[in-house]
Amino acid sequence: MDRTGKAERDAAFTAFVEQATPSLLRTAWLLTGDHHAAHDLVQAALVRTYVAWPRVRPETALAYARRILVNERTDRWRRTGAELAVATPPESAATAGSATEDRDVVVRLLATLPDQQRKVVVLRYYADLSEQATADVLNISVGTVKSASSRGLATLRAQLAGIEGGVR
Amino acid sequence: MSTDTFEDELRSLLHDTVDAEGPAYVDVDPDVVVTAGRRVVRRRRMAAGAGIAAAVLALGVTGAVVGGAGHDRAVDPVPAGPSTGPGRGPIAVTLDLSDALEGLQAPGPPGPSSVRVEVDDHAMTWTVTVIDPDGRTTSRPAATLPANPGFTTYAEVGGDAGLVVGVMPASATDVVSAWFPDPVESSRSSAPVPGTGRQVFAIRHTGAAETVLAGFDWTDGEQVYTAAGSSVQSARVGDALAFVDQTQGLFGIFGAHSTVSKRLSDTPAGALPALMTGRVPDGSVTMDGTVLVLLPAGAEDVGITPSPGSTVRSVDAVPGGSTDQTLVLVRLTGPRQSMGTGVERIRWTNPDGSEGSGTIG
Repeated sequence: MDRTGKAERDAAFTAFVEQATPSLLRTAWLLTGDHHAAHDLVQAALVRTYVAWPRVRPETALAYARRILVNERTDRWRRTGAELAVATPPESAATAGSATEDRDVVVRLLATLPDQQRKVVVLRYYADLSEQATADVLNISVGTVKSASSRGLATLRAQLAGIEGGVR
Repeated sequence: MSTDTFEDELRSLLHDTVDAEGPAYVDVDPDVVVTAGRRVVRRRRMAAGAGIAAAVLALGVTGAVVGGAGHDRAVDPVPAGPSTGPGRGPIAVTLDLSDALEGLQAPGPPGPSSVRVEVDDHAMTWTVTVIDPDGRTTSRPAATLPANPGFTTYAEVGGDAGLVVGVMPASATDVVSAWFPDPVESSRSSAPVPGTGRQVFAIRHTGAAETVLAGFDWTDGEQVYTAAGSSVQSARVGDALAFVDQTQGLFGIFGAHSTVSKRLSDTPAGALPALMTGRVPDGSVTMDGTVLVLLPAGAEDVGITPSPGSTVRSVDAVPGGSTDQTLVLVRLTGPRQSMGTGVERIRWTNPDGSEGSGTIG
């Protein structure tokens, strides 16, 4: 590729980064529960996307980057962001009632889900992907998506329902 | 609460949650991404064009990283500025390199006597100062420190002397590095940076001036990770931790006595990816070798035909997932002078029942 072609490619990629980063950061934050971990995870995913950029079609670029992002070992990030990775909801959440506290609770509860359930829940209910699209991203079957989603929802529903003033 | 209602409420809650975090997101700089991406592309192009013979295998322990606990250096916290508690400001660590290459087969030219690394996880920068034997110092501009201590960052700073310095997670107990254009011997020194979850390291290598670091993996003793903190396929058998890093195209063994790695692209056509590390007991005419061979996913019933004069002591095949390769560790003993790889042929059974066999490269 000549210098002009490379410059055009980098310009297109830069535009993609600016457009895709907010969505990726939010997804990564839900997966990791930590803003710095989310930043590092997104940056790593985008670097890998850059490497593959000549083979990535513009209309699928976000899906490609998201696939890389969620397939990083988020449990690794979870460990380093342990201050949010609580095994059970903190006691203070039991009396939470405000919308802000509900939001804190949902992030903490996501952290209690097994890795695959957490990814499925985030992709299905935040990224609004279909079951098939979620299966494609995670390289698992639609049946596995359904079961992981069902278990994840059941856990979240039971824990949220048990919190007075939380989501019912 | 019906499932449908709960799903809708969860959607709303997740979207409200991420929207409410607006100012807290740590934005990504496209220039940083592009610069890092270009660096990866450059390295991959260099690696792809290598076509190096299986020098690691031929030389037995070439590319070994020696060091570990025996090469760790003293920590030298240097307060700078009014707030210098752990994690609050710069902390300097000095690594003594004066005998870094001792014990290697080809010690190479003399180089810096020490290197001083200043880590500032408040300003999120790290700075390297190379100190020559005559006391002359050369400082490099401050570089960005990864926000996550699970990341590794490094720079090649030694010029002709062959020196790589970096910052890696404190949990790293060993590292393995691959070099371009040729495998080289190297020695690692490291020391923790208190209170930061990080440690600094320096790798002296004996390669030519054009030698560059082509890949890097580290272990916490349980799993193996890339420089970016992603775990890779690994398996522990006894005191050896074998791994395959498809991202960087490397595989290797973290062992009790030496650590070796090799690029997958260095495997000769038609051969199975393999590498060997060996140890010769003092005064012995035999060598104890450990050979790592990568077989197709699902391979089992592995059998080894040793080379003449060698004896197989154990064979362990550790399957990966449905798509990961099977890691086979063969331990054998053979004549020091003529052992070669110790493995003449390897056979296995595929998941579909078919038989496979091959030689190693």
